[in-house]
Amino acid sequence: MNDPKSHINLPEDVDVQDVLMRWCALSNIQRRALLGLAKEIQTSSDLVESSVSGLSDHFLKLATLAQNQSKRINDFADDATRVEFEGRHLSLSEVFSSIEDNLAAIVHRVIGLSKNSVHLSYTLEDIDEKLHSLYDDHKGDASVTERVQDLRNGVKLAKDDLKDIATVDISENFNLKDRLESLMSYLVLQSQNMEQALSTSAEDSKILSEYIADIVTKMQFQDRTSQRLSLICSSLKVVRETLKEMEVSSLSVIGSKQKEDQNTLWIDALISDMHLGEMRERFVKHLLFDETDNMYDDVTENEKMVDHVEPSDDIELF
Amino acid sequence: MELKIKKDDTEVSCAISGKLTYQDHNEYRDFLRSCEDLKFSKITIELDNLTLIDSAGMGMLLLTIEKSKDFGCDLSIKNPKGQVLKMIELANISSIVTIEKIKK
Repeated sequence: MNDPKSHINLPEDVDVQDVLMRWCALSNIQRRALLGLAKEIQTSSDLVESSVSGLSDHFLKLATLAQNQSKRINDFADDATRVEFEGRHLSLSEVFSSIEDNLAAIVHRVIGLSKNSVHLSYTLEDIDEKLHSLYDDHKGDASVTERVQDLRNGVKLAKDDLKDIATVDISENFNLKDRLESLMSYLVLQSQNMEQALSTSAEDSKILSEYIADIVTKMQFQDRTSQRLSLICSSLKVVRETLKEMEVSSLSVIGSKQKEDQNTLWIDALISDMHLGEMRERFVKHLLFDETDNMYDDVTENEKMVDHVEPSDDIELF
Repeated sequence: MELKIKKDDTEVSCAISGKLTYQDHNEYRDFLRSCEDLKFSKITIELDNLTLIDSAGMGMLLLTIEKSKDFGCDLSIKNPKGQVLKMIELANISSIVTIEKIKK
Protein backbone atom coordinates (compact mmCIF):
# COMPACT_ATOMS: atom_id res chain seq x y z
CA MET A 1 0.00 0.00 0.00
CA ASN A 2 1.30 3.48 -0.90
CA ASP A 3 1.88 5.92 1.89
CA PRO A 4 -0.70 8.74 1.50
CA LYS A 5 1.81 11.15 2.91
CA SER A 6 4.05 10.59 -0.13
CA HIS A 7 1.39 12.27 -2.37
CA ILE A 8 0.23 15.08 -0.11
CA ASN A 9 2.42 17.37 1.92
CA LEU A 10 0.96 16.84 5.37
CA PRO A 11 2.53 17.64 8.71
CA GLU A 12 4.27 14.66 10.29
CA ASP A 13 1.88 14.59 13.26
CA VAL A 14 -1.25 14.15 11.11
CA ASP A 15 -2.75 10.66 11.34
CA VAL A 16 -3.98 10.05 7.76
CA GLN A 17 -5.74 6.88 8.77
CA ASP A 18 -7.70 8.78 11.40
CA VAL A 19 -8.65 11.45 8.83
CA LEU A 20 -9.87 8.81 6.42
CA MET A 21 -11.83 7.11 9.17
CA ARG A 22 -13.49 10.40 9.97
CA TRP A 23 -14.34 10.97 6.28
CA CYS A 24 -15.81 7.49 5.97
CA ALA A 25 -17.81 7.98 9.13
CA LEU A 26 -19.14 11.25 7.77
CA SER A 27 -19.94 9.59 4.45
CA ASN A 28 -21.79 6.82 6.27
CA ILE A 29 -23.87 9.29 8.21
CA GLN A 30 -24.53 11.42 5.12
CA ARG A 31 -25.60 8.33 3.23
CA ARG A 32 -28.04 7.39 5.96
CA ALA A 33 -29.19 10.98 6.14
CA LEU A 34 -29.81 11.04 2.39
CA LEU A 35 -31.77 7.78 2.64
CA GLY A 36 -33.78 9.24 5.51
CA LEU A 37 -34.49 12.37 3.49
CA ALA A 38 -35.45 10.33 0.42
CA LYS A 39 -37.90 8.30 2.50
CA GLU A 40 -39.20 11.50 4.05
CA ILE A 41 -39.78 12.89 0.53
CA GLN A 42 -41.55 9.66 -0.43
CA THR A 43 -43.67 9.87 2.74
CA SER A 44 -44.57 13.48 1.98
CA SER A 45 -45.38 12.58 -1.63
CA ASP A 46 -47.62 9.70 -0.47
CA LEU A 47 -49.28 11.97 2.08
CA VAL A 48 -50.01 14.66 -0.51
CA GLU A 49 -51.21 12.05 -3.00
CA SER A 50 -53.48 10.49 -0.39
CA SER A 51 -54.85 13.90 0.61
CA VAL A 52 -55.39 14.91 -3.02
CA SER A 53 -57.11 11.60 -3.71
CA GLY A 54 -59.40 12.15 -0.71
CA LEU A 55 -60.14 15.72 -1.78
CA SER A 56 -60.80 14.56 -5.35
CA ASP A 57 -63.32 12.02 -4.04
CA HIS A 58 -65.08 14.72 -2.01
CA PHE A 59 -65.10 17.14 -4.94
CA LEU A 60 -66.44 14.44 -7.26
CA LYS A 61 -69.26 13.82 -4.79
CA LEU A 62 -69.91 17.58 -4.67
CA ALA A 63 -69.97 17.69 -8.48
CA THR A 64 -72.47 14.80 -8.55
CA LEU A 65 -74.63 16.51 -5.91
CA ALA A 66 -74.56 19.76 -7.91
CA GLN A 67 -75.56 17.88 -11.08
CA ASN A 68 -78.42 16.12 -9.24
CA GLN A 69 -79.54 19.42 -7.76
CA SER A 70 -79.50 21.04 -11.19
CA LYS A 71 -81.65 18.23 -12.60
CA ARG A 72 -84.07 18.34 -9.63
CA ILE A 73 -84.45 22.12 -10.00
CA ASN A 74 -85.14 21.74 -13.72
CA ASP A 75 -87.73 19.03 -13.02
CA PHE A 76 -89.30 21.17 -10.30
CA ALA A 77 -89.39 24.21 -12.60
CA ASP A 78 -91.15 22.09 -15.21
CA ASP A 79 -93.65 20.67 -12.67
CA ALA A 80 -94.28 24.06 -11.04
CA THR A 81 -95.54 25.59 -14.25
CA ARG A 82 -97.66 22.64 -15.33
CA VAL A 83 -100.70 20.78 -14.04
CA GLU A 84 -101.28 17.08 -14.55
CA PHE A 85 -104.93 16.52 -15.40
CA GLU A 86 -106.42 13.32 -16.77
CA GLY A 87 -102.97 12.05 -17.75
CA ARG A 88 -102.04 15.23 -19.61
CA HIS A 89 -99.51 17.88 -18.63
CA LEU A 90 -101.12 21.27 -19.13
CA SER A 91 -99.57 24.70 -18.79
CA LEU A 92 -101.37 27.26 -16.63
CA SER A 93 -102.39 29.22 -19.72
CA GLU A 94 -103.85 26.02 -21.21
CA VAL A 95 -105.82 25.42 -18.00
CA PHE A 96 -107.24 28.93 -18.04
CA SER A 97 -107.90 28.74 -21.74
CA SER A 98 -109.87 25.55 -21.13
CA ILE A 99 -111.88 27.23 -18.33
CA GLU A 100 -112.60 30.20 -20.60
CA ASP A 101 -113.70 27.86 -23.38
CA ASN A 102 -116.08 26.11 -20.98
CA LEU A 103 -117.41 29.44 -19.76
CA ALA A 104 -117.98 30.56 -23.36
CA ALA A 105 -119.73 27.25 -24.10
CA ILE A 106 -122.08 27.79 -21.11
CA VAL A 107 -122.83 31.37 -22.18
CA HIS A 108 -123.36 30.17 -25.74
CA ARG A 109 -125.90 27.63 -24.50
CA VAL A 110 -127.69 30.24 -22.39
CA ILE A 111 -127.90 32.52 -25.41
CA GLY A 112 -129.06 29.54 -27.50
CA LEU A 113 -131.88 29.07 -24.97
CA SER A 114 -132.70 32.79 -25.26
CA LYS A 115 -132.78 32.48 -29.04
CA ASN A 116 -135.15 29.49 -28.81
CA SER A 117 -137.29 31.38 -26.30
CA VAL A 118 -137.53 34.40 -28.61
CA HIS A 119 -138.33 32.08 -31.50
CA LEU A 120 -141.03 30.33 -29.47
CA SER A 121 -142.39 33.71 -28.40
CA TYR A 122 -142.76 34.64 -32.07
CA THR A 123 -144.59 31.35 -32.69
CA LEU A 124 -146.86 31.91 -29.69
CA GLU A 125 -147.61 35.42 -30.92
CA ASP A 126 -148.62 33.97 -34.29
CA ILE A 127 -150.85 31.52 -32.46
CA ASP A 128 -152.26 34.32 -30.32
CA GLU A 129 -153.06 36.37 -33.41
CA LYS A 130 -154.91 33.43 -34.91
CA LEU A 131 -156.75 32.87 -31.66
CA HIS A 132 -157.59 36.54 -31.58
CA SER A 133 -159.08 36.28 -35.11
CA LEU A 134 -160.99 33.17 -34.06
CA TYR A 135 -162.32 35.06 -31.04
CA ASP A 136 -163.50 37.92 -33.27
CA ASP A 137 -165.09 35.50 -35.73
CA HIS A 138 -167.12 33.81 -32.96
CA LYS A 139 -168.04 36.74 -30.79
CA GLY A 140 -171.66 35.61 -30.69
CA ASP A 141 -170.83 32.09 -29.52
CA ALA A 142 -169.99 32.28 -25.85
CA SER A 143 -168.89 28.67 -25.57
CA VAL A 144 -166.26 29.20 -28.33
CA THR A 145 -165.07 32.61 -27.18
CA GLU A 146 -164.67 31.31 -23.64
CA ARG A 147 -162.51 28.42 -24.84
CA VAL A 148 -160.50 30.69 -27.12
CA GLN A 149 -159.95 33.10 -24.27
CA ASP A 150 -158.70 30.25 -22.07
CA LEU A 151 -156.26 29.31 -24.79
CA ARG A 152 -155.07 32.91 -25.17
CA ASN A 153 -154.54 33.09 -21.40
CA GLY A 154 -152.45 29.91 -21.62
CA VAL A 155 -150.41 31.39 -24.46
CA LYS A 156 -149.83 34.54 -22.43
CA LEU A 157 -148.58 32.51 -19.44
CA ALA A 158 -146.27 30.55 -21.74
CA LYS A 159 -144.94 33.80 -23.21
CA ASP A 160 -144.26 35.12 -19.71
CA ASP A 161 -142.34 31.96 -18.85
CA LEU A 162 -140.39 32.23 -22.10
CA LYS A 163 -139.55 35.81 -21.27
CA ASP A 164 -138.01 34.65 -17.99
CA ILE A 165 -135.94 32.08 -19.85
CA ALA A 166 -134.91 34.53 -22.57
CA THR A 167 -133.76 37.18 -20.12
CA VAL A 168 -131.49 35.13 -17.87
CA ASP A 169 -128.94 37.52 -16.39
CA ILE A 170 -125.46 36.59 -17.62
CA SER A 171 -123.72 39.75 -16.42
CA GLU A 172 -122.15 37.73 -13.60
CA ASN A 173 -120.35 35.74 -16.27
CA PHE A 174 -118.70 38.96 -17.40
CA ASN A 175 -117.26 39.47 -13.94
CA LEU A 176 -116.20 35.85 -13.78
CA LYS A 177 -114.41 36.14 -17.12
CA ASP A 178 -112.69 39.38 -16.04
CA ARG A 179 -111.64 37.81 -12.73
CA LEU A 180 -110.34 34.74 -14.53
CA GLU A 181 -108.32 36.88 -16.91
CA SER A 182 -106.83 38.91 -14.03
CA LEU A 183 -106.08 35.75 -12.06
CA MET A 184 -104.53 34.12 -15.11
CA SER A 185 -102.33 37.14 -15.81
CA TYR A 186 -101.13 37.18 -12.21
CA LEU A 187 -100.50 33.43 -12.04
CA VAL A 188 -98.77 33.30 -15.41
CA LEU A 189 -96.51 36.21 -14.39
CA GLN A 190 -95.78 34.60 -11.03
CA SER A 191 -95.11 31.30 -12.76
CA GLN A 192 -92.76 32.96 -15.24
CA ASN A 193 -90.86 34.67 -12.40
CA MET A 194 -90.55 31.41 -10.51
CA GLU A 195 -89.49 29.57 -13.65
CA GLN A 196 -86.86 32.24 -14.27
CA ALA A 197 -85.56 32.02 -10.69
CA LEU A 198 -85.43 28.22 -10.82
CA SER A 199 -83.80 28.29 -14.22
CA THR A 200 -81.10 30.60 -12.85
CA SER A 201 -80.57 28.30 -9.86
CA ALA A 202 -80.30 25.29 -12.14
CA GLU A 203 -77.80 27.13 -14.31
CA ASP A 204 -75.77 28.12 -11.21
CA SER A 205 -75.72 24.50 -10.05
CA LYS A 206 -74.56 23.43 -13.50
CA ILE A 207 -71.75 26.00 -13.45
CA LEU A 208 -70.83 24.90 -9.91
CA SER A 209 -70.66 21.31 -11.09
CA GLU A 210 -68.42 22.31 -14.00
CA TYR A 211 -66.10 24.31 -11.73
CA ILE A 212 -65.79 21.38 -9.34
CA ALA A 213 -65.06 18.99 -12.22
CA ASP A 214 -62.37 21.44 -13.37
CA ILE A 215 -60.86 21.50 -9.86
CA VAL A 216 -60.75 17.70 -9.83
CA THR A 217 -59.01 17.68 -13.22
CA LYS A 218 -56.44 20.20 -12.03
CA MET A 219 -55.84 18.25 -8.82
CA GLN A 220 -55.04 15.19 -10.88
CA PHE A 221 -51.94 17.05 -12.09
CA GLN A 222 -50.57 16.17 -8.64
CA ASP A 223 -49.12 13.18 -10.54
CA ARG A 224 -46.48 15.50 -12.02
CA THR A 225 -45.39 16.56 -8.53
CA SER A 226 -45.11 12.91 -7.50
CA GLN A 227 -43.00 12.18 -10.58
CA ARG A 228 -40.62 15.06 -9.75
CA LEU A 229 -40.26 13.94 -6.15
CA SER A 230 -39.56 10.42 -7.40
CA LEU A 231 -36.79 11.81 -9.63
CA ILE A 232 -35.28 13.63 -6.62
CA CYS A 233 -35.26 10.33 -4.70
CA SER A 234 -33.52 8.62 -7.62
CA SER A 235 -30.88 11.37 -7.69
CA LEU A 236 -30.33 10.99 -3.96
CA LYS A 237 -29.87 7.27 -4.50
CA VAL A 238 -27.09 7.93 -7.03
CA VAL A 239 -25.36 10.19 -4.50
CA ARG A 240 -25.72 7.51 -1.81
CA GLU A 241 -24.26 4.84 -4.06
CA THR A 242 -21.29 7.08 -4.88
CA LEU A 243 -20.68 7.63 -1.19
CA LYS A 244 -20.98 3.92 -0.56
CA GLU A 245 -18.38 3.16 -3.21
CA MET A 246 -16.03 5.73 -1.68
CA GLU A 247 -16.50 4.21 1.79
CA VAL A 248 -15.89 0.66 0.56
CA SER A 249 -12.72 1.64 -1.28
CA SER A 250 -11.47 3.75 1.65
CA LEU A 251 -12.27 1.17 4.32
CA SER A 252 -10.47 -1.49 2.32
CA VAL A 253 -7.35 0.69 2.67
CA ILE A 254 -7.66 1.71 6.30
CA GLY A 255 -9.39 -1.49 7.44
CA SER A 256 -11.01 0.02 10.46
CA LYS A 257 -14.42 0.73 11.87
CA GLN A 258 -15.89 4.17 12.40
CA LYS A 259 -15.99 5.92 15.72
CA GLU A 260 -19.51 5.81 17.22
CA ASP A 261 -18.93 8.92 19.37
CA GLN A 262 -18.08 10.90 16.21
CA ASN A 263 -21.37 9.67 14.60
CA THR A 264 -23.31 10.97 17.55
CA LEU A 265 -21.80 14.43 17.13
CA TRP A 266 -22.70 14.53 13.46
CA ILE A 267 -26.23 13.29 14.14
CA ASP A 268 -26.66 16.06 16.65
CA ALA A 269 -25.43 18.58 14.08
CA LEU A 270 -27.72 17.24 11.34
CA ILE A 271 -30.92 17.21 13.36
CA SER A 272 -30.33 20.44 15.26
CA ASP A 273 -32.31 22.45 12.73
CA MET A 274 -35.21 19.97 12.35
CA HIS A 275 -38.28 21.38 14.10
CA LEU A 276 -40.93 18.82 13.21
CA GLY A 277 -40.59 16.30 16.03
CA GLU A 278 -42.17 13.40 14.23
CA MET A 279 -39.86 13.82 11.23
CA ARG A 280 -36.83 14.32 13.45
CA GLU A 281 -37.61 11.10 15.28
CA ARG A 282 -37.79 9.15 12.02
CA PHE A 283 -34.65 10.82 10.77
CA VAL A 284 -32.64 9.86 13.87
CA LYS A 285 -33.90 6.28 13.64
CA HIS A 286 -32.75 6.11 10.02
CA LEU A 287 -29.34 7.42 11.00
CA LEU A 288 -28.93 5.00 13.87
CA PHE A 289 -30.68 1.85 12.73
CA ASP A 290 -31.36 1.81 8.98
CA GLU A 291 -28.80 -0.51 7.38
CA THR A 292 -30.51 -0.66 3.96
CA ASP A 293 -29.02 1.05 0.93
CA ASN A 294 -32.17 1.12 -1.13
CA MET A 295 -35.36 2.78 0.03
CA TYR A 296 -37.30 0.09 -1.87
CA ASP A 297 -35.43 -2.88 -0.26
CA ASP A 298 -37.35 -5.25 1.94
CA VAL A 299 -37.97 -3.68 5.29
CA THR A 300 -35.38 -4.77 7.85
CA GLU A 301 -36.11 -5.40 11.52
CA ASN A 302 -34.34 -2.16 12.38
CA GLU A 303 -36.24 -0.19 9.80
CA LYS A 304 -39.53 -1.42 11.24
CA MET A 305 -38.76 0.95 14.06
CA VAL A 306 -39.18 3.81 11.58
CA ASP A 307 -42.89 4.20 10.87
CA HIS A 308 -43.63 6.10 7.66
CA VAL A 309 -46.95 4.40 7.00
CA GLU A 310 -49.31 6.68 8.87
CA PRO A 311 -47.75 10.04 9.55
CA SER A 312 -49.42 11.92 12.34
CA ASP A 313 -52.19 14.34 11.41
CA ASP A 314 -51.16 16.56 14.30
CA ILE A 315 -50.00 19.95 13.22
CA GLU A 316 -46.81 21.22 14.84
CA LEU A 317 -45.83 24.83 14.81
CA PHE A 318 -42.31 25.56 13.59
CA MET B 1 -134.00 50.51 -29.04
CA GLU B 2 -134.10 52.19 -32.39
CA LEU B 3 -133.65 50.51 -35.76
CA LYS B 4 -132.47 52.39 -38.83
CA ILE B 5 -132.83 50.25 -41.91
CA LYS B 6 -131.27 50.97 -45.29
CA LYS B 7 -131.95 48.62 -48.13
CA ASP B 8 -131.60 48.22 -51.86
CA ASP B 9 -132.52 45.34 -54.12
CA THR B 10 -129.87 43.00 -52.81
CA GLU B 11 -128.59 44.29 -49.51
CA VAL B 12 -129.98 45.53 -46.27
CA SER B 13 -128.24 47.18 -43.35
CA CYS B 14 -129.78 47.63 -39.94
CA ALA B 15 -128.24 50.09 -37.48
CA ILE B 16 -129.35 49.26 -33.95
CA SER B 17 -128.97 51.95 -31.29
CA GLY B 18 -129.83 52.19 -27.61
CA LYS B 19 -130.54 48.97 -25.69
CA LEU B 20 -131.54 45.67 -27.26
CA THR B 21 -133.63 43.67 -24.75
CA TYR B 22 -136.55 41.30 -24.65
CA GLN B 23 -139.09 44.10 -24.87
CA ASP B 24 -137.76 44.95 -28.35
CA HIS B 25 -138.36 41.49 -29.73
CA ASN B 26 -141.54 42.37 -31.62
CA GLU B 27 -139.99 45.34 -33.42
CA TYR B 28 -136.94 43.26 -34.23
CA ARG B 29 -139.22 40.59 -35.62
CA ASP B 30 -140.53 43.03 -38.20
CA PHE B 31 -136.99 43.55 -39.43
CA LEU B 32 -136.44 39.78 -39.62
CA ARG B 33 -139.69 39.34 -41.54
CA SER B 34 -138.67 41.99 -44.07
CA CYS B 35 -135.37 40.17 -44.59
CA GLU B 36 -137.26 36.93 -45.12
CA ASP B 37 -139.76 38.48 -47.51
CA LEU B 38 -137.31 40.51 -49.63
CA LYS B 39 -134.68 37.77 -49.89
CA PHE B 40 -131.57 39.95 -49.65
CA SER B 41 -128.22 38.49 -50.57
CA LYS B 42 -126.42 40.36 -47.78
CA ILE B 43 -127.48 41.56 -44.35
CA THR B 44 -125.34 43.94 -42.27
CA ILE B 45 -126.07 44.60 -38.62
CA GLU B 46 -124.40 47.80 -37.44
CA LEU B 47 -123.87 48.07 -33.71
CA ASP B 48 -121.86 51.31 -33.41
CA ASN B 49 -124.51 52.93 -31.26
CA LEU B 50 -125.84 49.92 -29.42
CA THR B 51 -124.97 50.53 -25.76
CA LEU B 52 -126.42 47.47 -24.06
CA ILE B 53 -127.63 44.02 -24.97
CA ASP B 54 -129.10 41.33 -22.69
CA SER B 55 -129.32 37.59 -23.22
CA ALA B 56 -132.65 37.97 -25.08
CA GLY B 57 -131.00 40.55 -27.36
CA MET B 58 -128.16 38.12 -27.96
CA GLY B 59 -130.80 35.46 -28.68
CA MET B 60 -132.25 37.82 -31.32
CA LEU B 61 -128.83 38.29 -32.92
CA LEU B 62 -128.34 34.51 -32.89
CA LEU B 63 -131.77 34.07 -34.46
CA THR B 64 -130.75 36.54 -37.17
CA ILE B 65 -127.60 34.53 -37.86
CA GLU B 66 -129.66 31.34 -38.05
CA LYS B 67 -132.29 32.91 -40.32
CA SER B 68 -129.66 34.38 -42.65
CA LYS B 69 -128.34 30.87 -43.19
CA ASP B 70 -131.88 29.71 -43.90
CA PHE B 71 -132.33 32.60 -46.36
CA GLY B 72 -129.00 31.78 -47.99
CA CYS B 73 -127.54 35.24 -47.53
CA ASP B 74 -124.32 36.63 -46.08
CA LEU B 75 -124.44 38.25 -42.68
CA SER B 76 -121.91 40.48 -41.00
CA ILE B 77 -122.01 42.25 -37.65
CA LYS B 78 -120.16 45.55 -37.54
CA ASN B 79 -118.37 47.46 -34.87
CA PRO B 80 -119.76 46.24 -31.55
CA LYS B 81 -118.42 48.21 -28.58
CA GLY B 82 -118.23 48.11 -24.80
CA GLN B 83 -120.65 45.75 -23.09
CA VAL B 84 -122.01 44.57 -26.45
CA LEU B 85 -118.54 43.59 -27.67
CA LYS B 86 -117.83 41.84 -24.37
CA MET B 87 -121.08 39.90 -24.65
CA ILE B 88 -120.32 38.86 -28.22
CA GLU B 89 -116.81 37.76 -27.23
CA LEU B 90 -118.09 35.93 -24.16
CA ALA B 91 -120.56 33.96 -26.28
CA ASN B 92 -117.86 33.31 -28.91
CA ILE B 93 -120.21 34.54 -31.65
CA SER B 94 -117.19 35.21 -33.86
CA SER B 95 -116.87 31.47 -34.37
CA ILE B 96 -120.11 31.40 -36.36
CA VAL B 97 -120.28 34.83 -38.01
CA THR B 98 -117.94 37.57 -39.18
CA ILE B 99 -117.52 40.37 -36.64
CA GLU B 100 -116.09 43.49 -38.30
CA LYS B 101 -114.41 45.94 -35.98
CA ILE B 102 -113.63 49.37 -37.34
CA LYS B 103 -110.08 50.37 -36.47
CA LYS B 104 -109.74 53.81 -34.95
